[in-house]
Amino acid sequence: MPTMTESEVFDKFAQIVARSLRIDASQVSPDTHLNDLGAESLDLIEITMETETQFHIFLPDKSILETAVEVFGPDILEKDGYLTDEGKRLMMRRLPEADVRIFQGEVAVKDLYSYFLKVGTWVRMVQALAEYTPGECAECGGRMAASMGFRMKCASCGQEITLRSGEELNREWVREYYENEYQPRAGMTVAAHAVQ
Amino acid sequence: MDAFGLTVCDPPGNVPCTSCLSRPWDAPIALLRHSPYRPEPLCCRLDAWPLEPNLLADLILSPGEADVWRSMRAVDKRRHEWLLGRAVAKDAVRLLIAEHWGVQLTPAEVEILPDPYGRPRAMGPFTARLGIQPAISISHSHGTAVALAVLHPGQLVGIDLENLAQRRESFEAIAFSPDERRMLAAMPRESRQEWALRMWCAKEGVAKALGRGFSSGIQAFHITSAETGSGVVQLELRDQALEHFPRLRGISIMAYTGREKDYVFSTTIYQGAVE
Repeated sequence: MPTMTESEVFDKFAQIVARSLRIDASQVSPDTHLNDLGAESLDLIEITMETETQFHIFLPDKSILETAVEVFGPDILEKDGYLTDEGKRLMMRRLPEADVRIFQGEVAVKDLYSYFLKVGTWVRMVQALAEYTPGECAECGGRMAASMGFRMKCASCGQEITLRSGEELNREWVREYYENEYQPRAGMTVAAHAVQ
Repeated sequence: MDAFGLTVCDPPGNVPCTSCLSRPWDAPIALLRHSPYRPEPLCCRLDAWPLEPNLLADLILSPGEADVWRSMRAVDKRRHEWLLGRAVAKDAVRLLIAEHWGVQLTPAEVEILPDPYGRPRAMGPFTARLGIQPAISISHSHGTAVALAVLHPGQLVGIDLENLAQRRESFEAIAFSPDERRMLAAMPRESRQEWALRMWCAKEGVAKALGRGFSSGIQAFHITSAETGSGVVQLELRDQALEHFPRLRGISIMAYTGREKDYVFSTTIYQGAVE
């Protein structure tokens, strides 16, 4: 879809949230947390599905930490249920809108989920994913519409493309972080755990 | 009978009960006749605001809970759900203690506080005085709040309530695995929406009973069978959930599901080591 500004993404996302939670959209702000708006697990599923449908995106199933542990290997980002300093550093980079004080003390992995419930975090994530969703066909300029699974199809010429999933983009972000920020800092030369 | 202008409910058995705002609700308990643990749980339900929220808060909350209530940044809907949940959970514990110990507690004496994982616990001087630690679970949907409480040591409880009237579009794709969706597809079309919610409630109830919610992911709570006759849904843990609860590997956990009017609910009581 055509590039959307953060404000446009926010307005559209706020409508989705308001409709799912049966609240007024004016109660949704970038700083509010979805659970403070009354969202429970089934509401979050509904919000996820509606967001994917309306923005033509695929939100990641795995948490960023799960994906990062696959790339970094064990015990580097989390140990015994708590983030290591390296883990906190990665999460701070990933969650620029989070209050840094969260990461000053011990951070239990079980609590990380709640930090991703901030509306501003969803908006940023949705905007990043939506950038990979074309609004027009690269071949003929026709309108692209959702097709089966991860695919979109041009309404005019029938050209199909496969969308990039949130999972794939998360993995790409983690690999870039691993190679460009972690490895130089850790003095490593070989990406021992980097996946191909 | 009225106390402080409140409607007083009829207590279970012959236990006198004062200023109880909610009513005992037997439907989720009746399902437990299939349970092997022979528990004596108590479930309460509150369908409407008995008082203006701030007045209710003044009446039932402990000083610590009142601080939380006043400093809560959530929207009114969330704050009100929180308060209704406290009201109904306090009643469930108070009625259970009155029934088994003959001790009358005021709502403020039963403090509902989260444990480190966010699971609600009933606390207060009565736990040391009586040597008990009630286990509780709270759920709310569409303005109705329910709470389940047990006194038996070592029992874990979970209750979930969902409303069929609420529009839920195709949540099955995320909530259920392909196996679970096949199970649903084999059910009669007219009861499919109800059973999708029953199966969801079963997952949620078990996740609440174990006390970590869905932090391991929804698919980690895998439904292995759903009996439409009895309403019994059996689940097993998978993947990351087994890292949290290694003793539950290969163990089937039962959730008892039911429906009353537009509400679908599940109750889980589990006894045994889990971690």
